[in-house]
Amino acid sequence: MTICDKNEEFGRLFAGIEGRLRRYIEAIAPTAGDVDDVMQETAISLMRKFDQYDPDLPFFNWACRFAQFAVKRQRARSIANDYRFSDAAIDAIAIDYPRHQQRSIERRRALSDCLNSLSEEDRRLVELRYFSDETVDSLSQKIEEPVARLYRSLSRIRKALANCVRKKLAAEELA
Amino acid sequence: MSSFREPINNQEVRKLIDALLDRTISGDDFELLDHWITTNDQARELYLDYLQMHQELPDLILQGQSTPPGVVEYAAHHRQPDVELHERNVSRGSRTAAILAIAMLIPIALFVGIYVGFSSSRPLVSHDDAPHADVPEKLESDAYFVHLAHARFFGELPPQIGTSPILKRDYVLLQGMVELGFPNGATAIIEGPASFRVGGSELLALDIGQCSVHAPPGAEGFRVETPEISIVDRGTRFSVNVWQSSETDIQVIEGAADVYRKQSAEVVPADVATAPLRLREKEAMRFAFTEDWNADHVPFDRERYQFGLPDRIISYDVTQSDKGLARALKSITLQRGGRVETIPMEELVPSKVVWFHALENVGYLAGDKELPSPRSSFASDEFLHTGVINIGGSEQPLTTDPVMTIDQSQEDFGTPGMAIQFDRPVRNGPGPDVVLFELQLIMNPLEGDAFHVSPLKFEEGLRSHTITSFDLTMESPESLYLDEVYLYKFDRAPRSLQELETAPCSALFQAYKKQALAVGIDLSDLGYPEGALVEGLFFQDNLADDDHLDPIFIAGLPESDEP
Repeated sequence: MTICDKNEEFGRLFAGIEGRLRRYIEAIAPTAGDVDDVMQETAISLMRKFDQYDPDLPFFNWACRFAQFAVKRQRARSIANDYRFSDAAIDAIAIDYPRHQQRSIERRRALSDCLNSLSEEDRRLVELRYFSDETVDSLSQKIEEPVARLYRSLSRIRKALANCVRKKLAAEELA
Repeated sequence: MSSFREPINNQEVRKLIDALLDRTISGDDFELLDHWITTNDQARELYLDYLQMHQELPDLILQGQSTPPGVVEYAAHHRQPDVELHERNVSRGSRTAAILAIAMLIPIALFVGIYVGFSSSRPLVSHDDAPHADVPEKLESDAYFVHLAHARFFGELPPQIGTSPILKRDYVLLQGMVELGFPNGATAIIEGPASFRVGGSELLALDIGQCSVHAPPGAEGFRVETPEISIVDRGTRFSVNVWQSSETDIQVIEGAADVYRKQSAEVVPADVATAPLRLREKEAMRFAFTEDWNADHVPFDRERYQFGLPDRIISYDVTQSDKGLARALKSITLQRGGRVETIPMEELVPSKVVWFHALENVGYLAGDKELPSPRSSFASDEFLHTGVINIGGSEQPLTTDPVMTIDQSQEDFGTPGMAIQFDRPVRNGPGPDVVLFELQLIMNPLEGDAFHVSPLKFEEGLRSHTITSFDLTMESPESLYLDEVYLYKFDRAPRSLQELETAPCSALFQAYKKQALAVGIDLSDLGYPEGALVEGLFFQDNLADDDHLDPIFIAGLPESDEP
C-alpha cells in the first residue's frame, strides 16, 4: 500500500467512526472545549500509529483506546480538574461503553417511539430545550414559567423517556 | 474496573445527571457524580442511558420536523396549537461526505490539522473560567483575510474579514475564494478546493488548489511554496495551480518569477537544481513529480489568473437591540464592477409589495409583536427582523408575464409569488443592482433558499434568473443574528395582498436563532441591457426543493458613481 493509499484508507476509516468517537469522548469528557481538543489529539495519535493498526480488528475500538488515553493525558496536564472525570471514572465508563453500545440502535429506535408518546406539552418543551437557541433561563422568561419548574419538568420528562426506553428494550428481549 | 456495589440512590444519581446535562452542576455535585460512576455499575448504566438520550434527541427532533407535531415556536402568553414555519428536510451526511472528499484531496497531516479550532460539539458542561495553561498559544500570522466570496471551509466557519490566519495552520477551503493580504502589500487569491497555510510574513504554502499572486513594487521576494517547489516573486502577477497529482502549473502574467526546487525534492532537472528557473511574462510551465522531476512549457492562459473576487454583497451594518441583535439596516458594503463601496440605507431605492399570492403554509408575516398598518410594510421598512415571508412559487421559473389579476368567480388568484415595485426605477449597472435579505433559521439550508426572480414584463431578451446560493450564507460571520421575531400564523394561505392585509392571524414567538442572509441580484442576469431602468421584479420560491424563501428586505442599489 502506498502512502497515498494509506492516507485514503485512514481518511475513510476515520470518517466512518468520527461521529461515534465524538460521542464516546463526550461520555468520558463532558466538558466544553475538551471534546474538540481530544478529537484532535486522538486523530493525530491514530494517524501516527496507523501502521500498527490491525485491519482485522474494529477501527472504532482501536480508536477508543487512544481517545481514553488522550482524555487522561489532558486531565493530567490541566491545572483545574473541576468537571473532568477522574481516571477511575473514565476507566469504568470505558469498560461499560462497548456493552452499552451493543444496543444503541434499538435504544435510539425506542427513544423515537417514546418521544412520540409524550404529551404535546412535554414534547414542545423537549424541542425547545434541544433544538432552540434558548437557555432554560431565557425560555422560562419567554414562556413565563419559573425556571425551577422548567428544570423539574425536563428532569421528569427525561426520567419518563429513560424508563420508557428501558421497558421497550426489556420487552424486545422477552419477545 | 471492579467497583464495589454501594446501593444506588437512583433519585440522587438522576438529579446529578440532569444537572450535568442542563449545565447547572456544581463542583461538589460533579465530584459526587464521579464517585457514583466510578463505584456503581447501575449508576454508570443510567449515565450512559441519559447521555445517549441527550445525544440522540436533537437528531430525532429534526427527523420529526417533517411529520406533525413539529413544533418549534412557543406562544408568548398562552399555549397555542402547534405550528411550523416551514416543513424542512435537513440535508444530512454532508459533513461526512466532506471528510471523505477531503481525505481524497489532501495529505494526512492536513486531515488531523483540521481539528485545530474546530468546534461543532455541544458541550455538556461549560466553564469558561477554567485555566488552560497547558494549551499552546496559537500565533496569529501577519497576513489577514482581505475578502471572502462564497467561501466554505472544512470543519470550521469562514473567518471574519480582517482577521489573521493562524501561523502555519492548515486551512482547507472547500469552495469559494479567499483573498489574503500580506504586510509587504502582496495579495493572494486562493480558489477552492484548496489547502493552504501562512508560513510567515512573506510566505504562503499551497498544498493543493489554485492561487493568484500579486506582488506590487516593494513586495518582491514574496514566496509561494508547493509541496515540491518554491516560487519567488520578482515583482509580478502569477498564478500557481497544484493539481491532485502534485503537478504544478505556474503562469506569469506580468513581471517575472523564480522557481526553486525545495530541499526535500530528490531528483530535479539540472537547471532547476543548480539555479532558479526564471519565468517571464506570458510564460507558463508545468512541473511534474513522478520518479523524475520534469519541467515543461505549457500554453500560456491568462484566464487562469484571478484578478479579483467576484462582485457580491460583502457585509452590512445594522442598529442593534439591547441584546446586541440586528434590527434596522444602516448600510450595505458590496463590490460591483470590481469596486468595493458602502451604501448608506438612505441611498438605497426602497420597494413595496404590490402582489402577493402564497401557497399553502402557515406563517406569512414575520416581525414585531404588534402588526403594522398596512401589514405588508413589514417588507418595506428598514428592519431586518420584519418581512412578508413564505411567498408562493413554482418549480419552473416564469417564461411569460406573471398574471397579476384576480378572478374570484373562477377562483383564479393569479401567479403565485410576490411582486415588488421600486420607489424609483433602478438602473442596471455593473455587478449587483438589487439586494435581497432573507430570514433563515437554524434548520434551513446554509446557503439560503433558492428562488426565481423574473421581470414584471417579459420584453425581448428578458428572462427569469434562479438564485441558488446567497452571497452571505449562514456560515458567513457577516450574516448577523436577528432580534426577536414573531411569526404570524394564518388559518388559510392568503392568495392576494388583500387577504394578507385582512385575514385573521395570531402572533407566535420564534425561539430559534435567526440570521439575515443577503444576496445581490445583477439585472444583467435577467437579460436587461446595461443602463436599462427597471421598475419592479417578480419573486417566486423555487418549489423544486422543500425550503421556502423568507424575504425580509428588498431594495434597489443607487447608480454607481464610477464611470
